[in-house]
Amino acid sequence: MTTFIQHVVDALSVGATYALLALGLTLVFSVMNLINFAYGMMLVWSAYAAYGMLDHGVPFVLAVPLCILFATLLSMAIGRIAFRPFIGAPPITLLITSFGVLLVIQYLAILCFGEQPRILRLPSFFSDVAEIGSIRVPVLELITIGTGAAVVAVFYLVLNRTAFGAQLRAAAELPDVTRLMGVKPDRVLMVAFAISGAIAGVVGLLWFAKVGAITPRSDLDPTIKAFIAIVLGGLGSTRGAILGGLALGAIEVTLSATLSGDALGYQPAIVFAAVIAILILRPRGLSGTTLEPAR
Amino acid sequence: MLLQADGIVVGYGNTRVLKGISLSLMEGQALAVLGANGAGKSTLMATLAGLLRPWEGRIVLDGEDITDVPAEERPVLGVALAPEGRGIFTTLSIEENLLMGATSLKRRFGAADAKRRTAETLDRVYTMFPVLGARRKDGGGKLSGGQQQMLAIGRALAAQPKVLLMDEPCLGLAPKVGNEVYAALHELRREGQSLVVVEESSRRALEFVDRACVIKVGEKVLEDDAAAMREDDRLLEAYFGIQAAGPEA
Repeated sequence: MTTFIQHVVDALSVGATYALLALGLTLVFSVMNLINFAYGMMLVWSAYAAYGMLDHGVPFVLAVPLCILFATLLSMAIGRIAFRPFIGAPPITLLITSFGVLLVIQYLAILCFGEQPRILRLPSFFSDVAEIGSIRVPVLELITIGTGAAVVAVFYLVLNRTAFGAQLRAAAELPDVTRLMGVKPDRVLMVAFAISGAIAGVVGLLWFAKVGAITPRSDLDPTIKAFIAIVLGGLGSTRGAILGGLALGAIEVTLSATLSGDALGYQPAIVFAAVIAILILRPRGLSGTTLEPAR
Repeated sequence: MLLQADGIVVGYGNTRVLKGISLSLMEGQALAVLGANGAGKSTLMATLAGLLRPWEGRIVLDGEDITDVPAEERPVLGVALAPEGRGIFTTLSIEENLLMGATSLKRRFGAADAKRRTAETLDRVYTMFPVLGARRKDGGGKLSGGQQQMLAIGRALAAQPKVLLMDEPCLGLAPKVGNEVYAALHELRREGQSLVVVEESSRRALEFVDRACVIKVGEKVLEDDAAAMREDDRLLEAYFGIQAAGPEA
C-alpha cells in the first residue's frame, strides 16, 4: 500500500510537469496552428537564467519570479520577431520557422554557456525527503504537484475570467470573426506567447531542478514529452493537454514500477507503443474534442 | 454619403468573384443586396468588412478612404458585420460573445466612455432579444439557429456601428423564426440604423429597405428604390434571366 501511494505521488508529479509542458505548447498551437519545436529550448534558457542568477548570489525567492519574467519576455520576443510575420501562413512554414528559432537560440546557448553541463544550485530543501507516516516523498515532487495545480488554476482564471482569455478562446475558434470584433491578431498572438513563456519559465525550473544539470542540448526530451502529451490528450485543447500530460506521467511511472531489470531499458519504446495504442482507439486523443471544432 | 464602394474587383486565388461593383449608402438608409447563390454577395460583405482587400476599386466611409484598413480596425471606424453562417463563438458564453462585439468601443471612445457604452449596449441587446438576456451565461453553442442569429446581430450592434452589415440573416431559419429576426430589423430601421443586408430571397428584404440592388455573377445588374423594385418585373428577370412577364413564364 505504501509503495502504491508513493507511485501515485510519483505519477502525479511527473504528470504535472508534462501537463504544464503540454499546456504551454498547445496554447500557441490553438491560436496559430504552430507546433513550436523551440519550446524545449525556452525551458533550457529559463534554467540558464536561474543558474546565472543563483550563481551570482541573487536570492532564490527573487530568482524565481525574475526567471519566469525572463522566459515570458523571451517567448514574446521570439513570437514578435520570428512568428508574427507569418500569421496565417501554412503550418509547414511555421514548422520550419520554429526549427530555425530552435537552432538560433540553441547555438546562442552554446556560445554563452558552452557544452559542459551547468549545475542548478537550489536551496537544500529541494533535495529533502518528506516523511508522512511510513510514506517517504521527495520534497521536489510535492513542490511540483503543488505548482502544477496552482499554474493550472491561474491559467483557467485568466482564460475564463479575463478579456484576454475570452479573446484567446475566440481566436482559437474563429480567427476571422475575432478580427471582425476589432481584436488585433498579433496582439492575441503576443498574449499566447506571453502565457506560454511564463509556463515555460515555471516548468523549466521544475524540470531542471529534477534533472540537476543543464546543457544546451537538454531541450529534446521536454519538447518530445510535451508533443506526445498534446497528441495523446487531443491537439489544441487545453483540457486535453492536461489530461494527456497526466496520462503520460501515469504510463511512465507504471512501467518503471512494473518492468523488471532488462525490460526497463525498453521503457521509452513501450511508452510510445502504449500511446500509439491509445491513439488507435481514440484518434482524436483522450479528450476527444479540440478547442477548434472540426471543419 | 456614409458608405461608398467604387468599382470593387476582388476574388480568391486567380478567380475574380466581383467584377467591378459599386454601391452607396446614405446616412440612415438601408440597402439590400440581392442575388442568387454564388453571385458574390458574401464576398462583397467580406470586402466591405475588410477581410478581403480589393484588387481594384476603393471603399470610402464618411469621406475617408478605408480601402486599406484591415478588418480589425474597421469596427473602430464604425463598420460591423454579422457574418455569413453567424460566426458564433461556441466556447464563449452569450454575454462574452456580446462583449467581444463591444471590444472596439475602447479604442473608439476611450476607456471610461467605453465602459458606459458597453453596459448600455448590453441592455439594448437584451431588451431587443429577451431570450439572450435570460440565457446570458449559457454557451453560444447551445442556442438554436434563430437565437444564434439574434446573437450575431446583437454582437454586431454591440460595436455601435455607423453601418451595420448583415450577411443573409435568415439563412437556414424556419420562416417563423426568420420573421422574428426581421421584426428586430424593422425596429432597428425605426431607430435610424444605417445598414446593408444581403439576401437571397427578395420579398422580405424589399419591404424594409430603401434601396436594393441585384448582383449576378459578380456584376450589378439592377439598382432601384425598393418600392419601385417590388412592382418591377425586371427583378425576376435579373434574378433568373427569363422574361417574367412573358407568356410561358
